Amino acid sequence: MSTLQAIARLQAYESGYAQPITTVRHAHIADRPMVFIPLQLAGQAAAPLAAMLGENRRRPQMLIVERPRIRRYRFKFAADLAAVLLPYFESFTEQSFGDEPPADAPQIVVPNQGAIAFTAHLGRSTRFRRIGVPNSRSAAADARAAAIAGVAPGVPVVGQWLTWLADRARLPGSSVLLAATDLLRAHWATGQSGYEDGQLAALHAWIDPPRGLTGAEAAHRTADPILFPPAGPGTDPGFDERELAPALEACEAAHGDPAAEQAARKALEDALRSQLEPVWDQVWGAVALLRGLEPAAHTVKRWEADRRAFAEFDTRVRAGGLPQPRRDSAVSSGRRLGQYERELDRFEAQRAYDDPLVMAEYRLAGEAFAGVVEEAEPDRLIGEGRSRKLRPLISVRTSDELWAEPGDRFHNAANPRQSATVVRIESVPGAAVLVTVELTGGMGRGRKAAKGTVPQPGDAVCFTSLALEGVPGAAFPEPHETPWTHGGPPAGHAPTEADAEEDWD
Amino acid sequence: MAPSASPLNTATAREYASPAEAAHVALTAILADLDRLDRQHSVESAGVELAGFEPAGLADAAIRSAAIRGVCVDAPPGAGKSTLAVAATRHLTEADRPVMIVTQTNEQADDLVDRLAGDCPGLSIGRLHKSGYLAPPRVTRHAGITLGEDAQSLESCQAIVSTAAKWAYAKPIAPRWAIVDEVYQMRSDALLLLGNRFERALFVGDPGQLDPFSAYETDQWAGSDFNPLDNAMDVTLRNNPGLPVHTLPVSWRLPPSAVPLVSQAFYPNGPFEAGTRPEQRSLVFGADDSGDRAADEALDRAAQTGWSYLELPHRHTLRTDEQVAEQIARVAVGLLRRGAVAVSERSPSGGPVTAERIAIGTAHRDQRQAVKRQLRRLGGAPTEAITVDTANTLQGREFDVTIAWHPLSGRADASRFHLETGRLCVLLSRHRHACIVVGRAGIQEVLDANPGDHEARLGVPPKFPDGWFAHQSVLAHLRSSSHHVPVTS
Amino acid sequence: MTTGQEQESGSAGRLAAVRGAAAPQGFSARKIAALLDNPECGRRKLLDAAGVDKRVLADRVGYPSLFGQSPFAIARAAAFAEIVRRDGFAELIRLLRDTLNFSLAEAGVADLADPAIAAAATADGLSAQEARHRETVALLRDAALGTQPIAVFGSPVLALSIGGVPAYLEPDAIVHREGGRFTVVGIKAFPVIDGQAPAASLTAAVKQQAVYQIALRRNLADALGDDADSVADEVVLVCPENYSNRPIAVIHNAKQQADAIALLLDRLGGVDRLVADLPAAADFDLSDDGAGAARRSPGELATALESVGARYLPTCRANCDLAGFCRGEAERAGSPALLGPDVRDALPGIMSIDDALTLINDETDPSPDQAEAVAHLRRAARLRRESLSRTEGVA
Repeated sequence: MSTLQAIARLQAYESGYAQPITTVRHAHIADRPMVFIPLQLAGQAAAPLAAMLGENRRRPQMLIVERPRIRRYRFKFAADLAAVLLPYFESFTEQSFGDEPPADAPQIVVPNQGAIAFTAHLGRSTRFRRIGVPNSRSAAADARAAAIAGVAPGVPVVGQWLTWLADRARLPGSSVLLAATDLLRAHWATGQSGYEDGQLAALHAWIDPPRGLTGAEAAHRTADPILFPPAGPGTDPGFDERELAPALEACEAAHGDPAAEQAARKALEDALRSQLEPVWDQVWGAVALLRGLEPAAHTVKRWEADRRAFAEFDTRVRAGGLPQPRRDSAVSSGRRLGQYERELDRFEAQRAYDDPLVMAEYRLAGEAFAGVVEEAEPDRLIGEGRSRKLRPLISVRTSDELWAEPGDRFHNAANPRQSATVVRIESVPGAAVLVTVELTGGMGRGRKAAKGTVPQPGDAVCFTSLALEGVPGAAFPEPHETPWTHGGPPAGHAPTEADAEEDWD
Repeated sequence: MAPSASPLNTATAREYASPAEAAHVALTAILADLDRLDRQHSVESAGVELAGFEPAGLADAAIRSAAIRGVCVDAPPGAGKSTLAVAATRHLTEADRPVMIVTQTNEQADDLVDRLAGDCPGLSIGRLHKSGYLAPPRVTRHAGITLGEDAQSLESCQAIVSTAAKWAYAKPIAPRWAIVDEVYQMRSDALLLLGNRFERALFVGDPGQLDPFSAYETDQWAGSDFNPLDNAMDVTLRNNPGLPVHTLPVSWRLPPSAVPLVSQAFYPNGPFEAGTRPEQRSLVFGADDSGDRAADEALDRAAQTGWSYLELPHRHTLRTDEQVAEQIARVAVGLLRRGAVAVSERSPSGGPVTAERIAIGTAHRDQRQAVKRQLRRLGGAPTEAITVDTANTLQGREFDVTIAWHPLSGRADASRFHLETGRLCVLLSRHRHACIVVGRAGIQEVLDANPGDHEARLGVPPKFPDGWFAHQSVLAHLRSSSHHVPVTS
Repeated sequence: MTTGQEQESGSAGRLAAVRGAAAPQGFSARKIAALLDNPECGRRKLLDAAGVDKRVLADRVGYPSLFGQSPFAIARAAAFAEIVRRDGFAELIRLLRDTLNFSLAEAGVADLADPAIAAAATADGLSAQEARHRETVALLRDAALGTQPIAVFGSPVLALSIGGVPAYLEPDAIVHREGGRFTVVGIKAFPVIDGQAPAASLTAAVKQQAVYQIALRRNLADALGDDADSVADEVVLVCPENYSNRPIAVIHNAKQQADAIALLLDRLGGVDRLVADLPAAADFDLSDDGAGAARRSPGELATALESVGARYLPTCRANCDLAGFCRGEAERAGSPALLGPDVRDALPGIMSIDDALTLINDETDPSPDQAEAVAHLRRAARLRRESLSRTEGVA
């Protein structure tokens, strides 16, 4: 964390309210996001217990698993989830889109990173399933197939989608699957520690306290797990003991008696709703807070990439493509890391170009400088004859602490295609320096700079070493050409019977 | 810092009459393994049975049974990696095997070209490079070096040298033997990009260097056999567990005063010895006084014992602690002003320790800037040629005297970054004569309070030595009375 | 001259006085491993050494601990452990043989949780733990000497001295390979999914097994007199595979964790000084006077707590019952630690948040030692002000 963010935290502590650390919003907030809050049964990595989800803040849908230790009920949960999510995904692909990206794409907002991990687990435990029919390989296999015959057609498909979402959430700057805590933390600093910011209730309270309370006071109140249940996927152990355990026992006891079953189910649903509703409001609150911020210029471009990626994956799923493998091969992990690294560089640069408060972090770190142009030589040409080139010089007075040395290259934050090579740095009175740079590019094609492309004396300018466009990655071999150093070509990853019938208990 | 595989065919210097003999035995064993691989290869390509191939030991059996395609060499600091690369190139090309040499930086590539051209007259050398590359004088002074931006134009060269990054983009040529240098600095995804360009390879690297890293932090491939973030040596060995691993047993760079500490603290799995005797290396000064008492005392101590630890009073500071930066600059300036002369087996009558022979190592880039500023202020132009860089950039380089900014100086706690074994190892193993560490008191307390997170991952072998342990033993050494120079302000 | 023995018992006696009349809370492996989280927190060191129940103490001083374990997690863990243990550890033995290629002697299973062991020992005036420990050591010795082919020791009891305070520790199992070494086994309910385990759970489990390794090495060394090279650096963890209940055995080298914990254990001597520095009137007696009234009021306990320095970190909330109290204390003091280590690092030499704010806002002048940091902070504050006002102007 930078010193600038430390200052923001100190100011938040002093004022009692969270303080902005950006001037614009660096994530896309879709027109029709879907909020998804999963809960899991304690003690198991992917045992779904309940979920609250939906596109409409006023009409949350609830899914519950009244007998969470029984496999059939877990698959029913997965099928119910598919019945909500798949139509939502399909609603963005109603018109065919050829080469153009779809007009919009799904966006799922969950409370925290734990929910993203749980999404990945749900995807992993469902995407290899097959819509079960006895295959008569053996009596035992048939019995197993019968046991999973309840796997509804949507289950493996939603498993692939959940996996896609969780994978894409790793990509810097993507907005298809967002955690509310990440969104809020990326835009505000609170007067508590970063560790405590992991709790959605407290974080949200610092930023948007109820009337009559400061953020600090409101956050203090959230320490009570009864009033402010955890945002999942884990539930409060006290709730588990006091309410959940008896409610689940009642469901077990009522099994087989339809009237009693219904009553027990209703009681369980009420108990779970009490845990989910406050979180539902916080996540939607986070969405509203973010929507209230001006979007940064590059969010549009990044969302377009998300839309394209969505369309690509949709095509793959429709074509009956194989589910994603359990673990990446050598080639796919290499490719992925390369993509993540390039996107990270790009995202960081875009954030700085879009937001002076983010750029200030680079100025403080000596990787950017801002100031006023003192002198300009806009028509300067160098070289002879045909290789004569336009290379204007400008001198910028800045009080930023700059580490640059002659020869270092910067980019004009207002004209990213224009690069500036440091020629000299001189100390001038008033704790400032005069930086003289030679400009290249971003000035049109002629021997004379296009109007307005060379900063004039008196102009405020900012130059940064961050580049918006990076170098494309080198080509990895195809998987079937994996070299011996990396174990040679991998075996294929078509799912087997065993994958499809894997235990989930 | 990499987990070391159990070394095979390792010659320990103790078993031999002299370090030179131990080094020679190790080199011979490595070249013999190259021959075995090569024979196996030609037999395989000819489709002939292995009959008549006389196994000469364990390595032979392993090489035959598992289709071994590479030889790995762990080389501690200054153990003669370049000498090995040159010897292996000569050995292979003399047997009509063209080689591609992969380095991690252009600097390293140019150094190797220079060495090859000097040591192997008649060898045709290609220097493959990116556009915009300007060949330095140490390359252009040799005849018989062909420069080229595309590999095909260099295909007739017996040895083609380039960086891993350039090889990754180069158009394919017929596969040849590869010599991959500084392989512990190379990420495994970078090797994957060029793995199809060679069939057999010699991998050489220093396991004590910093692990490669990524600005993108993720644990998603932890424990995978193909973790792209792991170094290329570890991944190759995990996928080819039978590869022979040799260790070069002698450091020709580090003086006898440095070897015990560096070997014990950083290379517990592959100990090494000094190639020189104490009387062969000394550092003497023309003048007694540079004007800064603390700096002079630290320099005298370093000249006598090889190490000194200049300790400023305890205080929590910013990373860019100006007092530490200033003290470091004073030591460097003192070294120049006092006319230090280094006597060694290379220059028995002594050579001046010029600015080019001095390095200052820091953990962070902003510390580097702070030191440069102080050098300009206190020493002016004569200090310009002093190398001031972060540990990452100093990897693989060599100087007469180094001055290190202790990574934990002025800190309230120790993060994983600051405890990283490789960072400390690089800072303390660049010198031929002496190393002066500068820091603030209180590091012991910081270490005791921050034992590191010791995070466990399935399938990820723990790395030895652990950074916290290495820091503890290094600090105990530096704070012993023979090296410790406390400054009271 | 005082012997080590006398010193130990002396410090143990003083520690007992600090605890008062309440029953001591023993050290668990988890508690010992927690040394790695914040080893220099004197408050925790002292309370743990004295065997004070921090959870009850936290409750009494008005900052109830929020730790709890769900009954579902407990039930799941117990059910899973039962799968591994039943039929004389049949499943464990199968996994060790089939997936880890351990060679184990036939039919050699010793169950040290057998009530008969404890019952037989009370006759000798030993506690149940002491008795099980005695039996454990005897059997380990037999196995090491090859006089009895025991392959699996279920629920053995090991002893370890923590800064002079004896502790009994109970690993899930220890296995002995034929003609080979002892290996500590942990049975854990977190899953191994496609070869990966959740990092936090795995790390905690490995540290816990590392503590058992240390105890096992020391107990074997005491019993056999040799340097306990006979304990493997690797530990075995048995966990559910993927999303099932089926056990899988994985192996992990715990040497790094064990080395670190062993080094910290050897340095625990600081407790003596902490006890000596405690004001005469201060103790942590959580007992009542027999008539239902607490011997110490919450105020007295809080004062006693404040007399021992703590090293509060926000992450303490994840591993210490007293974190709420320490946070409250940091809040009252306006300590930069409250805002986390990153903020504290940005404020070197500045002891409170209020000082930081007045320095940043130019209301006070920095001391020479603070000058550099304050100049940087002011530069940051100026950039922040400038960047925020620039956009306000635009909007």
